[in-house]
Amino acid sequence: MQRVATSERPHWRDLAEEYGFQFHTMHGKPYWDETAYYQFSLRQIEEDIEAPTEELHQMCLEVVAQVVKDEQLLEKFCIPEAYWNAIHNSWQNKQPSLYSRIDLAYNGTGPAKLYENNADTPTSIYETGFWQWLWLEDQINNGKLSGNTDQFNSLQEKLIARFQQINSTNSQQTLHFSCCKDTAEDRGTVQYLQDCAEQAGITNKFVFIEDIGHGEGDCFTDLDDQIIKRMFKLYPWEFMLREDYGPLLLSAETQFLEPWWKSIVSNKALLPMLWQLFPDHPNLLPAYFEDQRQHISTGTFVKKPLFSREGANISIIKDGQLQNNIDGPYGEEGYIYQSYYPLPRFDNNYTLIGSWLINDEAAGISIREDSSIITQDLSRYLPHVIV
Amino acid sequence: MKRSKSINLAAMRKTSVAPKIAAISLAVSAVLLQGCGAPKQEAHVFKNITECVDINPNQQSLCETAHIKALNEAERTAPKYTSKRECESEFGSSNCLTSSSNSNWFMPVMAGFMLGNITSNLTRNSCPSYSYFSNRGCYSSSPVFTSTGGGSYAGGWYGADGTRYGKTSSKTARVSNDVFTPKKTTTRTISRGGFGSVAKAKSSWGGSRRYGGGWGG
Repeated sequence: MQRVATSERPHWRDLAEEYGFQFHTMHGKPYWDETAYYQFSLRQIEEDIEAPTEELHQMCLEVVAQVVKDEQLLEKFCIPEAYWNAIHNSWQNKQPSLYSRIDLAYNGTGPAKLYENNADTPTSIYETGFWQWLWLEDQINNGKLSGNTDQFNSLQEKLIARFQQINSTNSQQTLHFSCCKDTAEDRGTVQYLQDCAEQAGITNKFVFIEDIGHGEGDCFTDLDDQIIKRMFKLYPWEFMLREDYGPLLLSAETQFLEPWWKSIVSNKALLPMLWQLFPDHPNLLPAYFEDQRQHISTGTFVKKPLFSREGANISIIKDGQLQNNIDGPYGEEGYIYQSYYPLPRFDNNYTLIGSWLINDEAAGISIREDSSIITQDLSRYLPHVIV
Repeated sequence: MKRSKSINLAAMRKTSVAPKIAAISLAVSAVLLQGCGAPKQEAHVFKNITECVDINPNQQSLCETAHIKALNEAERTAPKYTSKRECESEFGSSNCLTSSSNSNWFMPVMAGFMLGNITSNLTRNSCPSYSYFSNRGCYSSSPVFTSTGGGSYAGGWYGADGTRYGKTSSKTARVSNDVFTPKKTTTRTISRGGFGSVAKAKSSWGGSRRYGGGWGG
């Protein structure tokens, strides 16, 4: 696995404008970074990333199967009791999932290690499914890379196919799409998913999270008072369950992407559960709950809130002492501890691999780089190739 | 090859407005989406008038009306296809017919109908407009479809909007009363803004770095 410096396409920002990629630069700093790319062999992709990704996903499903029927575990996952039945039913009824992104520490040799599973609201899907694919097409067309250069990225094709699959029994019903106001990144991500749904022949309609209404008969409505029967949301379950309309979720009969049961997978309590069910698995890092503190008194651990995103509120603990930490608004519901396993370094960067699944199939990877050891929302996104 | 074989770049461009794909079936079925929160009843699914009369003795007239009304509703609301092959791929071969409102469209054959009792002891003049009066009650009927081949509609009774009402091996289905009333897509909104407060609280958290780029991870 190598990091290869290269030159930017001179016109790439115009291209971004043309294709609606509005968040390529954030707060004046680069997010999409094509001054370099990562290079893998096919064996590395297939054996060290693709296969373990699918295996890890199956292991996560086993965790869900156990947690949904165990009240003590549901409490440990800090899921409010009012919603236990809904989550259980969602799993029993096999409500379909669209996608997940597993974050892996991998340096080209040795087994990739699972950091966490972004199973409810994974982002960077536009950059991954479309934008980095376009980058490779351009590099091949302008002769920078040879014609048989490949990329681990069949995300867009699989997304459209999955939308068609999920839609098969609801062919005429509108699929609403939703995210918060005031975030160009989220709106761009959701637009991309709408574009994929459109190509799958699905009637789709956007509504902001904050604009969703309580309709007569205890359902949800959009700004045209249209009943929301099914909805993709780029908004976390753990937020919704704690907001005013949380209880309405129980009566509304709205189907969600991602479905209720995915909130167990996105919860970092998943990590100690995986370690309990599959101890010493090569792709797992030891992880413990707060009440297993005897395991963390020596050694280096990363303390992570049950609910947090993009590196916020992460801290590193060595022999029980705080080393460094990232600020943020999370941590209310408690923490877990995961054995410290640093990201690999390439030049002056720490590199994280995001491995995507569409339903239960591995579909491609995204690469994030940061000068800090903890990956955050401003960490740069770099393309990759398979040679 | 480990990457998408092709991507429709034209469909991804944002600098001009892409034409909306208008599926034929949408225009007709826009009125079909159910309302929410309605009470439920056990409804019989009848494959034909004879089965209806078996369950409702001496109600030949009611059953015939129910059958005709359901057929009319099926014509109006069943999914429409521009090719017979497409229709048959979902509903089974020899299970599709030409729509009588447009000979270019194909739709699945009505497999049965459900008869709903809206309310009893009323006079002929007081039934809601979508229902009909029979035997001192207001009734309404609704068509159901199934696939005679494989596919996602096999083995179940499905409404015109794709809602599954139960297995074809069963003679009854548990349905909400909404199945028998005109389908609503809209309802009065009582309040708005019940989602989003947690995100708002977290983005107004101060701290050494700007927060709130988005709510994914």
